[in-house]
Order: sequence, then C-alpha cells, then structure tokens
Amino acid sequence: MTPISQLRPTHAEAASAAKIFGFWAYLMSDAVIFALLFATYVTMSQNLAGGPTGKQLFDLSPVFYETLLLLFSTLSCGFAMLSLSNKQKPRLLIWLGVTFALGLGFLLQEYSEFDQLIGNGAGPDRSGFLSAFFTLVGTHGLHVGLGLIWLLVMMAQIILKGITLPVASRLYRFSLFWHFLDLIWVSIFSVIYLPGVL
Amino acid sequence: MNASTSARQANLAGYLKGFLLALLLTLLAFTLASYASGMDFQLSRLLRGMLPDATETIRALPQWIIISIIFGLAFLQMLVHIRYFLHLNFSLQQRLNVGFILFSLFIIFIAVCGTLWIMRDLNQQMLPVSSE
Repeated sequence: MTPISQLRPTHAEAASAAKIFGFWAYLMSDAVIFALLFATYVTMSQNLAGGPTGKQLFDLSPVFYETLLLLFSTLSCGFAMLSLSNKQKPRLLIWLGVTFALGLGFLLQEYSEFDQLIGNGAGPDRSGFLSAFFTLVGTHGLHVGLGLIWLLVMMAQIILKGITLPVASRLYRFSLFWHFLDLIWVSIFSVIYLPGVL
Repeated sequence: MNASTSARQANLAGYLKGFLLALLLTLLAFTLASYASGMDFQLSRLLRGMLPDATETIRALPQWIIISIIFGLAFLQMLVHIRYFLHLNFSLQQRLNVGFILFSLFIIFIAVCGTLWIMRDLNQQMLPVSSE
C-alpha cells in the first residue's frame, strides 16, 4: 500500500497535472483541425483543374528523408526527457540541441520541396488539390517551426533558471507536442504521399 | 500526474523499442509504395534486394488493397507512438486524459466521415461540366 502522504499531491504537482490535462485539451483541438484538413484534402484530391497529379509531383526520396528526420528527433526528444528525469543538465541541453537540429533539417527539406513545387508551377493556386495539399502540409510545417522556437526558449530557460519544477513541467508538455507532431506526420505520409505516388 | 512520475514510467528501452517499431512500420509502408509505383527512395533498392521480388504480385493487386495496407500500417504506427512516446495508458492517473482523447476521436470521426460522405454525395449530384 502507498502511504497517504504520497497519494496526496503537493500544490505544485497538482498545478502541473492540471496544466498537462489542459495541454491534452489543446492537442486534441489541434487534432480536430488536422482531421478536418485531412477530410478537405481527401475531398479535393481529385480536383486537378487540368493541373499535375500527385503521381507526377511527389517524389518518395525527400519524403523519406523528412520522415527519418522527424522520427530521429522524436527519439532524441525522448532521450532529453530521460536526462530531465535524471537531472543531467548538460546531457539534457545536448539532446534538446540534437532535437532542434533534426527539426530544422526537416523544415529545410520541406522548404526545398515546396520551393521546387512552386517553381514548377505547381503552387497552391494551381488547383484545388494543390491548395488542400499546401494547407495541410504547410500547417504541419508551421507547427514544427513554432515548436523549434519553443525549444529555443526552453533551452534558454534551462540555462538561466536551471531544472526547476515549472521548467521540467514545460519541457514535459513540449515533449508531448513534439511526439504529437510526429504522429501527424505519419498520417501525412500515409494519406498524401504514399497513396499519391501509386 | 506530474512530469517526474511520467518521465519515470518512460525508460531507455521503451523509447528504443518504440523507435525501432516505428522505423520498421515506416520502411514497410515506403517499400510497399515503392513496389506498387516503381518509384525509388534512398533505401528501396537495398530493401528490395533483401526481400523476395514481389513486384508482379503487388502490382496485380487492386489499388484500394494497397492503400488499405498503407492505412493499416499507419494505424499500427500511431498505436506505437501513443504507447511508447506519449506514454498513454489506462492507469488511474491518466484516465481523465484518455477519456478526453476518446471523446475527441469521436468528434473527429463524426466530422471527417460526415464531410467525406456529404461532399462525395454532393459531387455525384453535380451536373457534368459541358466545356471549359
């Protein structure tokens, strides 16, 4: 049996638990947004307006790079959480730095892919299919970009404030956000790119 | 629950296991798409060299079966992410989160299926465009 004193959370712990629940509420509202963008994409995917199809545009190689970069960054984010629970500050900063570098690599790869598509006249203004494609993949990319800014802020807080309870709680919520974005990316390559090249 | 207890549930073996499972499911999905489309990616030649030559068999399959398998692999990979990275489980501490997530999935189901159903139906009722 657990002693009563351990069952009753401290005030700080209870506040942290409430924030984690609130963050799940945010993540789920974000999931609803992505789900509706997916529904829009599937509805629009045949509306080519005489423009290029997914099979003509998509290339599996950059998508595979992007997938690996995000998957490795999710792993390094997990390693950062392990360093956090062991209170190893230098190791935590290194893993967060690795996560940042991999996330930035993902964004640069996505930018070059978008740049190439728009350069080939397949921008979001070309057809309903491409509008829906850029909206969905762009929204995910925007989330990754904002996640990178959040990551920089957290690294600064670790350096300036140390690993305090509020900083640890924020880092835990960041890790939820980051893993959630990888989960959305799994749906993106499985709904857009892989069926697109068939 | 707080950050320290949730981090304690997580361990190195769990993250590595989740990562390897996710990587395997990703490779399977990409290799299947590569077989079916004939399009290459970085590891496709290597993987196809290791696997038996199934190009004929896979190309003979109707497209909806291949897409269903890709969706099935994605669903499995999401379960892996939820289990090993997001650490959701049915413990007492997480019951509120899980209930909230299931409710959100219900909302998503209604919104997505409703959208696809109604838009498909409307599309079929449209008169064909006579000319550009």
